[in-house]
Amino acid sequence: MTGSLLTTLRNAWRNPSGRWGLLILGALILFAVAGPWFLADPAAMPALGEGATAPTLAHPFGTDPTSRDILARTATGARISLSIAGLAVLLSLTVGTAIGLVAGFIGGWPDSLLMRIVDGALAIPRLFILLLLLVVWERMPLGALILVIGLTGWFGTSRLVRAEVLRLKAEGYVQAARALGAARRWTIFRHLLPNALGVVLVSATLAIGDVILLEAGLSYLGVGVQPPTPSWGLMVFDARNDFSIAPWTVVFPGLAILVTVLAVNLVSDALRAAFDPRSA
Amino acid sequence: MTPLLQVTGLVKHFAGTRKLFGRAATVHALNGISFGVEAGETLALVGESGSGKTTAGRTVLRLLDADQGAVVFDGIDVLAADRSTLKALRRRMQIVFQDPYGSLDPRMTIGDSIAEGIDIHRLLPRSERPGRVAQLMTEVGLDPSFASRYPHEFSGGQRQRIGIARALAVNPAFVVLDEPVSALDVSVQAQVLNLLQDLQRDRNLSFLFIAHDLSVVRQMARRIAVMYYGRIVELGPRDEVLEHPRHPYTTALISAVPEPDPATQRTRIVLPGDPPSPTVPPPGCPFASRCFHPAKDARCESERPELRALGSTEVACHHAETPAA
Repeated sequence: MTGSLLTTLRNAWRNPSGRWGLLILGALILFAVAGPWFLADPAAMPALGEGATAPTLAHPFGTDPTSRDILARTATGARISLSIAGLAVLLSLTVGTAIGLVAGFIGGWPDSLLMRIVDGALAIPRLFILLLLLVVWERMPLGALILVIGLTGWFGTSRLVRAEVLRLKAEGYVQAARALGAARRWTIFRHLLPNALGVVLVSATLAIGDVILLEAGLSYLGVGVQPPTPSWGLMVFDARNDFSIAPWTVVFPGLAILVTVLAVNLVSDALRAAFDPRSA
Repeated sequence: MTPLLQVTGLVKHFAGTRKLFGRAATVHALNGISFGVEAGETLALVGESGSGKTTAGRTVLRLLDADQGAVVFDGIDVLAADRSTLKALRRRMQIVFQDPYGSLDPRMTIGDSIAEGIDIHRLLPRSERPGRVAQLMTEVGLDPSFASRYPHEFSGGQRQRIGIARALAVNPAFVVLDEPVSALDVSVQAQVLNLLQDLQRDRNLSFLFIAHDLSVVRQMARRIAVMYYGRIVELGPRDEVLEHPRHPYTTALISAVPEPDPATQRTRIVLPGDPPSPTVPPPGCPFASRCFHPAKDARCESERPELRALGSTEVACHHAETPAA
């Protein structure tokens, strides 16, 4: 077998841009996990009334208009934003891949049924579905928010995976496995899933950026993460009016989003290459 | 003597995509073919693209479900076999595909590809697997040290050998060779054909050899079945079919084989037009629209000729007694 996960990761590490991506992503995760222990209380407002201060040694990212430390808020926000992005995308990819596999492999009426559901879901903007749910359920806990974002994000992935499975099903090696007496499970786990994973990875990269921005948008509308809990998106939107007088309030959480999406892209590119024996 | 494989009246129709208005057109891919393959022999199935030869191979192996007819392998009804019987049958009936590129999983080492059947049927303990893979690779003329490499590192001919090793790993008695050399260079074709012949002799294999190239068929086959429009139009011993073709379509096919000696005078028969649409079978002989037989008459247009014995061959032509050209 190619690729236990470990071998794939090792191959990705050999790729220079993959190594950078992994390092940055690792640093971000460390920042999210350990940062809040060392940094100031993100909710503390030690100098309320003095307004936002530009970055200093004491506040490397500056402070916001209520004198909260932006570095501390960015670190706490990393926990929120990264866990929402990571878990929601993991959930939507798992569901999307499973449904795409079933639809593509079994075909017939289950395929038609699933794909009509996906058609319907794709016809309604995701933000609209989310807003509806969130209006019904005010002050949604973080876990539920992750579930809701994850469960509204799998439609596109299932389409991609289904198309890939349809293509793979006609390949000689899938036919050969059938001729050798392979059960469905064997074909799915030995041939279809590994060969469709490239598509899934690309889908993941796009989805992580999307979800961070989606969470930002929801928080902005007041239905996502609830203040004073900081998330990157919420920070950017909170600070939108201060941008001209205190740009650091927007720049640092914005940079965090940018760097995360970039790192995810680098890692995903490297993973895809590492996963393909032709480029090893 | 009952043949190892007996196919009787096999029919396979494909339902076309239904249009919004109107009915789906059914493609008549196989219109009732019958043949037998004896232990250790090669039966060649020849015909142009769309004649149904590949469908025939797949349907015999139950990779496609037949609509009618019977396939009996060594006394077992293949088409009616339940799941466990079918799985056991799969070890004895194998297939080698035409496309050497698509037939190997790019993410599997060739050792794993070759051993796939062994793994599916749990034929060997883990410890004996590498030795068996090495033995199979040697048997098909590959260096066993390549077992941990990936398919993209191999040439078309080598990949075809890998595909052959994968089929042989489960020790089959019967192998469908679906145009196994038509994607290869001529020099490589000969090597692979020789390998197949050696394997057949050593393992007493039966082959259903699907091909469109008669010069390849001449080297491989003991008997030849010529297919046209989902039917067998001529079936007989190799030399009889190639030297004394009775069906005008066979005559035309043979005239299309390139002649290496430029001094030899020959007439090339060029068939006008295309076979009839596979969705609308004609009432008479399906070849009538392109037939050049001097005795062709109204009966050819109205009455479908059935396969009938004529000497040592069987022919489906009303005028097989009269030479076509």
